[in-house]
Amino acid sequence: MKVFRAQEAFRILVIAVMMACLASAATDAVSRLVSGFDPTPLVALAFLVCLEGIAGDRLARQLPEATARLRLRLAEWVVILLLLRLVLSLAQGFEAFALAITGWLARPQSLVDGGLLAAGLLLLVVWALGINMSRTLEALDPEADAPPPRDSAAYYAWLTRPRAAQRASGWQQLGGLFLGGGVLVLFFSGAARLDVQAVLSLRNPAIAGIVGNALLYFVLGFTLLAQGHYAMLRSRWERGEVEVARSLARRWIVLGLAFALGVAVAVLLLPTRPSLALFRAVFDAVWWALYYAMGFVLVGFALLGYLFSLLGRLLGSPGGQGSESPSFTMPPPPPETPAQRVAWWEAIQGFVLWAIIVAVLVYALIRFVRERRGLWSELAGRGGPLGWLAGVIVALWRWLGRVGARVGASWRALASRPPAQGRTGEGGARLRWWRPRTLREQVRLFYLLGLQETGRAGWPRKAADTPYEYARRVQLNLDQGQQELGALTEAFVQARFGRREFGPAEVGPLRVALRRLRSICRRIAGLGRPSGAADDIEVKGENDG
Amino acid sequence: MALHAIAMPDVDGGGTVSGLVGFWIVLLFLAAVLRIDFFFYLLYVSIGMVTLGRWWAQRGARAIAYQRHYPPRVFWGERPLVRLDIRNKGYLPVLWLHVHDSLPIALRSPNFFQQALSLLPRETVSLSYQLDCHQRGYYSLGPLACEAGDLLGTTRVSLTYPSADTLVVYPKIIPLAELGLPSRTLYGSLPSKQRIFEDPTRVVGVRDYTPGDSLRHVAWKTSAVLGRLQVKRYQPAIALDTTIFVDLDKKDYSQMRLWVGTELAIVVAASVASWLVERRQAAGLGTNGHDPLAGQGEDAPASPATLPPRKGRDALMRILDLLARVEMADGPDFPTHLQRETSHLAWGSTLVVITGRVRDELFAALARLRRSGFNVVLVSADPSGAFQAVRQRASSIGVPSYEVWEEADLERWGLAARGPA
Repeated sequence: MKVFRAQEAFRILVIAVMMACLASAATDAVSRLVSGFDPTPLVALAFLVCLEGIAGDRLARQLPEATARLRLRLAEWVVILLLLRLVLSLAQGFEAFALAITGWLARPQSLVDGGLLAAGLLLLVVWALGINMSRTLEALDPEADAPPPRDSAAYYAWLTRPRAAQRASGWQQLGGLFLGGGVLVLFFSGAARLDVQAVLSLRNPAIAGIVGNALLYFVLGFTLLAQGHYAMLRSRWERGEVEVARSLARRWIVLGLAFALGVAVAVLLLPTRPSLALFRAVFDAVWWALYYAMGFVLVGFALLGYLFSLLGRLLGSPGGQGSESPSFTMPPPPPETPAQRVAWWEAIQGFVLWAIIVAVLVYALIRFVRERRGLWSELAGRGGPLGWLAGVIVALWRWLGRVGARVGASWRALASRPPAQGRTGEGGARLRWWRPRTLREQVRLFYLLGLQETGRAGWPRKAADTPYEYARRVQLNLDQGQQELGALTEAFVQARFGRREFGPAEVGPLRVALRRLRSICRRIAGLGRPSGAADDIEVKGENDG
Repeated sequence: MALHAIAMPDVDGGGTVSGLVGFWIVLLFLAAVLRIDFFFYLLYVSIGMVTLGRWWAQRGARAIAYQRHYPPRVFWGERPLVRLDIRNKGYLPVLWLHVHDSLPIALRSPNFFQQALSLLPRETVSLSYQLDCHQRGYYSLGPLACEAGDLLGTTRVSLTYPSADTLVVYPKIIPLAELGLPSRTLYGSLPSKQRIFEDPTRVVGVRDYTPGDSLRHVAWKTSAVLGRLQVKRYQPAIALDTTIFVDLDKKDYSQMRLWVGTELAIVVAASVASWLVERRQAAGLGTNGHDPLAGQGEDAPASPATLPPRKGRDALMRILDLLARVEMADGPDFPTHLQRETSHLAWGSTLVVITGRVRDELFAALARLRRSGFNVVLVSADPSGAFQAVRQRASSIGVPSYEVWEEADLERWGLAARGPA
């Protein structure tokens, strides 16, 4: 059996590079403490140790006996530690290395020191994490061995083996390993850059710059997750005997990497400093609005005072002779300090950042509440303060759900205005709620407005009425406007049920007809219909039918 | 080709998103407290990977279109190649796409075709598969269902394209040698032994004039050469305007041979129609079976309209189309249907009546048709053990009858018919 399959080479390399990034982040932090320490050889060793760990793990699994596996592991680690010892000594220069050799010969116990232990621990982490990632990916992959013959009972057992559940847990595990490693990378990256005292005093300055090893770790990590997803899909497809295009695996790698790098480049444009500029801008705007509103109020008062004084003079009040016209003074404008001045781009950046932060928090809260739906109900059922709190959360959730549904329904109603007939395609679906009405739609609208007017005049349309039935029924009761209603009805039927396209020359007379019908109906509505007219209509309608 | 996109949450990938959300919150907190710009940057990267990935998957999936290329009509036994062109109309690549084309079980086993692929921007991928057309019918190909998703498995987009593609598989046609169908229609193209049907356009020779011969038939040139009056001899010919009536009423077939018998009836009808058209005769078709295209409303006709006898390949194609589509049905009653549908047919034309078991009502209908001047031939595709009695009874009303138990009988029938003729 082969140790590696060809399609696994990319994934194993990605894991090894990720582990090297982790080691690089850790050695960066160590470099701050140990002056003159060159981390490069250790990072390279971490890369190699990871590769060796994955290969050794696969070899060990092929060995049938536990003792043989243990022997393999021991030999592996002796070699790793020996190499580590050499690398650590060489990293301090050749002279130091020569001295160290002399020391080791004199005192073999000096081979082991604090540096070796710390570096060994780091390599152990890298080794174990790399092996686990590789194993998880391997479990997600389709099985390498061929299925048993189809006509055998073993095939049925093979077909119905519980692989899907294992894959789901493997997928979770891969995510956990990646994020766990990511937390370590962030910890080491932060430790390499932060001043602990300044952080504790909460007055640490903002630290700018991109951390290359951490960025590479995350970009490759997402690519690895994508590979894990591909492995799962591939397993599912092979299980369903789906033929897979040859180019898919290669494209998955290329597109995955390109996408991860593209996102990494694109987000460089986003702000990284939480700014209060937006709030300042809003406060300034509100302040100025209040200032001008107050100014208007004061001007109003001044005018009133002036009018009263004039009135007083006219009435000849004793105090009016000597009184002077009232004067007012505007309050001082809001102070404009240079520190408060907000640049527009700063405001936009602040808005974007705060929008992202709010979106993350809202999304997290929604998921948090939704995923614990059963728990809230259970807690609410138990009673007590915790139950009350859970009840509040449940009630709030339901209220938010109702509000969301209402808003959604309104939005859908707004957005689902039917597209014009004969105008289909992708463009029709886009922002169709504020596009101008077509001539056909105008014709339909005229008729509906006409219906509104006739309804107000006392002849509402019944649900079962066809346009012609309704028109005939109303025309019998109208002294004027029969032709207008007939023309509107005829045009409506053609626009609604036919394929006819209307020209502007045809729509103009219909608009005039609607105006005339409206004035007639309003005149009738203003005069009031004779009593019993509705009954007459009913009788006539029935007779017609 | 309509396109529907329904975004569905991926159960498998949900766990990773949950883990990522926790990671985002920790990262956000650390970034805000420690004020490390890079942590914000990483937050953006991870959020961007998920949200842009979802957007990419959904946007990419909506730009997928397909076209199915195939011959819309095939003959029995052919293995047509169906080519499925999957096209990415958009400017974003489609990372992965699982294509699943549903097919009728009668045409392919398993009854689907599926493949996983990826599409670059504006790329078209051609997939192909073969169908095994060993069962006549009117089939719908599809619907085509596609599934796409993002890199991290956080979303899946399912698309279903309602199918409008149909395939007609013509019934099996067995080449017949000679049928010897009777006819009384004049001026046709088939030679006949009955001299009453002489065709003046087919001169086969001359003979001496006898008193009573029409002067219009005198061959003047030959008479001048021979020195005595000669009269042209014409070849007798008939036109075999034939309408085939296929009984697909379930109650006219035994339960055991319900499917085999009806299918055999259709094979007989197709073979006879093909034989007639090959000989440049007019052929028509009537049936009381169910035509899926005849209409689906309550007021839709119960059976397809009878195709009047016509000549040429087009007529044959129309007949085969109908024979490919029709299915057995519960009624209408065949003798009644026969009586109704023959009312507009020309006098003297031939009716080939293909049925299962011959009932008394059918005999009565055949006798009426015979009296009306039609030449009737009876074919039973589900003959009972006492077919001899049926044959004698049919013979007594002047209707030749044949039994067809299997397809080989049809060939024998043709040969047998040629012998006595």
